[in-house]
Amino acid sequence: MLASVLFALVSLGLSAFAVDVTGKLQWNEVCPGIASLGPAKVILDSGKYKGNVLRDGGFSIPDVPVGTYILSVVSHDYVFDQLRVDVLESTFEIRPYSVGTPLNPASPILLPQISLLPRVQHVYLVPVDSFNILGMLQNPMMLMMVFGGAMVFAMPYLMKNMDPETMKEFKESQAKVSGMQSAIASGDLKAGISALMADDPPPSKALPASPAASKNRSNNKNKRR
Amino acid sequence: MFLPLFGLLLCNPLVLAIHESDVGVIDWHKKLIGVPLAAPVVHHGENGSVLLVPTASNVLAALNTTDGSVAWRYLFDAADDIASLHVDGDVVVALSGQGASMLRSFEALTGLMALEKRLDAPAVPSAGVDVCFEPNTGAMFTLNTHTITRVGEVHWTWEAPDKRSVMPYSKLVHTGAALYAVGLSQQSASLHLAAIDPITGTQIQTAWKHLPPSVSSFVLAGDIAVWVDHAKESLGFIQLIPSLKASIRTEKALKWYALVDVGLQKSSLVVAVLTNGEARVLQGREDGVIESIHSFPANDGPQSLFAGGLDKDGAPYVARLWTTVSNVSFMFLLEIYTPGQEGAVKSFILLDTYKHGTVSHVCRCQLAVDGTRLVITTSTGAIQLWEQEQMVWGREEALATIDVAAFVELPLPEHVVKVGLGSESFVTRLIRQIGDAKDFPSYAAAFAQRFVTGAPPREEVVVSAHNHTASLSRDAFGFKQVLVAATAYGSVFGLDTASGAVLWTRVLGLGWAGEGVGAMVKPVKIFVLNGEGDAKDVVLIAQRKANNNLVDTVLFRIDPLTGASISPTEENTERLLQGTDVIAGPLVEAFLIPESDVIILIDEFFQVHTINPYPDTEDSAALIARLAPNLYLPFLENFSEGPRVVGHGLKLDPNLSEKHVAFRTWGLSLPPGETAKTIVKPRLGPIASLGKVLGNRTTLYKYLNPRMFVVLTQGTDAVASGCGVYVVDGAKGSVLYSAVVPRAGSEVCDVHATLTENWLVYHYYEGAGLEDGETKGWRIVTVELYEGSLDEKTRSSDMSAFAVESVNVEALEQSYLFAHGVTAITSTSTKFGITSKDIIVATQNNKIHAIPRRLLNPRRPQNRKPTAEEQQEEQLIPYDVVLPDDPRSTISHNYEVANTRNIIASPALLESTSLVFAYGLDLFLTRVAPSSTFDILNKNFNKAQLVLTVSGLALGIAIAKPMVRRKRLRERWYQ
Repeated sequence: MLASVLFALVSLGLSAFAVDVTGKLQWNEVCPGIASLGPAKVILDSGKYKGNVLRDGGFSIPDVPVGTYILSVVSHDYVFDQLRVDVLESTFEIRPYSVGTPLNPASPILLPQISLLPRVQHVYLVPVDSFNILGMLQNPMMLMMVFGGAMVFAMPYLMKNMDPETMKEFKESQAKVSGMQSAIASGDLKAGISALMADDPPPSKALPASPAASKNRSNNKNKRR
Repeated sequence: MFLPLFGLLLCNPLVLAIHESDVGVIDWHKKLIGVPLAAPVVHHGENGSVLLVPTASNVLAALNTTDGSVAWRYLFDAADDIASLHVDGDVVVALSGQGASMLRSFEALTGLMALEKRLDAPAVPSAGVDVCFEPNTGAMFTLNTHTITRVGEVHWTWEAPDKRSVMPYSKLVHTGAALYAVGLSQQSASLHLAAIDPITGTQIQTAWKHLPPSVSSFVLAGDIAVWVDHAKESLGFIQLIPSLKASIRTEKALKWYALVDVGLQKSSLVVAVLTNGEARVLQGREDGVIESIHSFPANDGPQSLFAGGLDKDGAPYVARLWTTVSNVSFMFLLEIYTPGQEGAVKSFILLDTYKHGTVSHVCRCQLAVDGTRLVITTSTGAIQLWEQEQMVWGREEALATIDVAAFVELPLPEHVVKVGLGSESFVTRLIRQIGDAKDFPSYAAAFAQRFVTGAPPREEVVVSAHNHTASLSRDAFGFKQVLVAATAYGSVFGLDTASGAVLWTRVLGLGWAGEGVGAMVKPVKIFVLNGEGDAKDVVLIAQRKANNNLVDTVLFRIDPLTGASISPTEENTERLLQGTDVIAGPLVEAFLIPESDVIILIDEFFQVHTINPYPDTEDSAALIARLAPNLYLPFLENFSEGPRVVGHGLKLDPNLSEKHVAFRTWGLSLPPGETAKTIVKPRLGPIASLGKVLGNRTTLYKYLNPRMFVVLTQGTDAVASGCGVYVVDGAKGSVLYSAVVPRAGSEVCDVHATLTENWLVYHYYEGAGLEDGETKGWRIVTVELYEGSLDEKTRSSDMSAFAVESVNVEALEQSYLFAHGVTAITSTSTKFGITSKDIIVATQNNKIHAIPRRLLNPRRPQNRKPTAEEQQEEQLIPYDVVLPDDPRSTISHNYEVANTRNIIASPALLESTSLVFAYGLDLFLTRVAPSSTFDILNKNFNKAQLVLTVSGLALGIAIAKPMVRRKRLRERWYQ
């Protein structure tokens, strides 16, 4: 009780040097007017001194004693800049302030008046991803699958139209790869790699045409998958 | 600074935002205004009309008369009480604050504030406050005790010439000729008058008239002041003229009892009640004479309520409401009189007093009239609009004053309830299974439909349906529960967590004080007992303060499904809910003994009362006797120097009392000049892991002492001292963690804390940061207590409270800047405690915000990047002093959840999901999944894509198979 009386007296004593901090919110395309802003107030520090935003955007915080304060706008949906306000004996100074930066030393920039612009409107909700067949087909996995499927049908015709020599080369390289694959599958890594490295395929692996062809098939299957 | 964090947000779902389609499905919100303090004022605008009402929750609100929705509201601060409200035309003016010095004016239909001004406050407490308006100029005059101020283009202030001798003025009247201030002093038996020039503010005349000392109040009718002399039962009045020389006239023909101000001063109407119960509508004439224009006949019931109002065309109405007790039911009879018409329109309203309370002059209930429509406020805080015996809409404003609330899980649906398998014969089982199988076709059809269309499971649909008549049984995920909330107005509500619908309402009975004495019932504690079988049992402990100042502790046992009392049992829930008196005196503290259904109550003599609703489980006396040596009960006790935290043990001394008595075992010693303010109990729940595995495969073992709690303290010296945060061991009072945070010059410490497992989070305002490199702002501090450094283990969770190692605590802590002040803080809780816990805060800008656990990890590395293992194992992110204010983690999204006092969380049946309920002025409930819903398919899961892909593959196989077969055949042929 005594403490609060004392406190009241102290604040009364200070109020000899109290200043009304006044300013204005500006409207822009983010927030076109008071109707979209809704009820908002302007507070100093933790809200001991505060004023409401009036319908013209102006506000006034009465009887602020001498000191350094951070001015912030409490609004539900909009973000405003914070400012540093130094209340002097008969006037007040405004400086820019960004959250999380040291308050002192004070910024050398002095602003002429408190004029706050809405910066961002909060977006709380995310839209639901709706099913989109085009988007689904644009998926890289999907494109690969479609390409693989197309190749299944296109391959025989391509092979048919191929130059016999290129065909032979292609078959050899196919056999080489399939030889390595079968070697890896059977656990014989070394043989597989050497088979790939060797200029001439070892006859045992390369000679039979039918396994190569069947490998080719399985390769196609792989692609399709 | 934000870039690395932003990158993280992109690649990792740190924030799980709410989808648009979830709004109103997973959450609900009730926008409330509080219980009306004064009669609502009906304001008619061009596009509809609103009810303007100041409330006990310190809100000025406008309700749409068509449906009762909130058109706008203005929330006054706690220290800025509404002193008076005045409506004129499209302008609403409220005076508030200390000395009623804050003047605000609003647009009546939109609530936009046009003016906010601090007037000169009187040095003495303001005795009379009034506002009147000057027609056509928009200027207004405010009266505050001795001072009149004109607010408008021309501004002047008039002060009473000799403030000491002149008694305060209380009313202001503006007539064309002058502005009059009128005050009545019973002490000096005089009526004070002052006439002032409204344009210049110069004083025309002051005067005082002698009145008998038995006149206690006066009412203005137009420019005539009217009063009743109680001693002589006579009516006196005087007309206000600029010279103040009119003489007092009296009327003694009838026996006058009292005057009622029905707010029709402008229409010169006032209601006078006669001693025989008759009432007269009096009208002041221009020549200064009062005449009776209507008489309401006497009634047999208690005193009537009167109200006045203007309809859309400005025609005045006067209504009278009184109660008749016919047979057993109450009936409220209504008469509405319109001046200029013969007789009054009579009707009646049937109000369910056992659900909504009653309307009478005793309960300070309010009445307003708008043509033939009537607005009533009841003793339980309901606002209702009636039109010709039909209730158009009602609002349960007592919900803005919830004291205690608890979640109650619903029982399983009947067809799922387990059957005793042991005693079942083969035939009965077969019959049962065939019976059960009758639902199979519909189930199969529903399944097929669900599979094909991708429609959500039925449970989801039930949860989102706003139809609360669906049977009260548990849904698949446990999202449907009952919220039992007890309010300061002595009513209990059962709310459906799925839709927010009120399932049942009960009004608490007053016991012996109900018969003629009258009392207030204030809920103190609520416990949910497991009860018998599947049904739960809600125990509400309340303090009943009778009007003769006797305080009793009363216990109500409520069935959460129906609201019926369990003990004493009742059949008819249409009556008041009666409880049992358990302590003839106030309650000090109540505890529920863990893993039992026994509640212990401690009375003012520290005697222990046990309540065991289910004696067959274990005799409560035996249980207490068995547990007494190991029970430690810490609670706040008031001492001359302020409240202290004292720990108590229990003992039984047969010589003193037959009950166990709590005796002091320890007291928390605080630095001199510091007193305990609140105790924050830990949020108990299952603990999934005892340690935290770090990136380098070492372990930090959590300090899991189940007896820990938080004490928030406050220094007595307002300027120099700080606010303390202590974590205390409840068995022996040792301090495990302590911190002192600055108070920033505020009068009360505004620290909020929550403790769960070994994790403490607290929030405060750092206002002292004016040194170089420091800053001001709200801080959130996250603290984790461990048994020691890496791989050190003391098994704190099952260690004796008196073991030496129990004080080995190592605290990891980090502090962050947070963008908003908070009013409540809690952590989520899930069924098995495996899901990570989020911190839920209610912020100053009326939002409910979730802070992900990852952002509050006190191991976030400073000045270095987390290693790959740390990122992978602990999901560490680099320390950043600012906690991002991400709107996507605002779980209340567009809703405005104002003045939240408390947040409670309850697990659902799904491990991933927790229900969060915030109450204060508004109510808000939602579901949160801190680690995303890992146990059900994500709602975004693209079922159509899956089905399409699978069918595409099947098609591919179907096409390719014959081709391959043909090819193989050809190969065989040409081999």
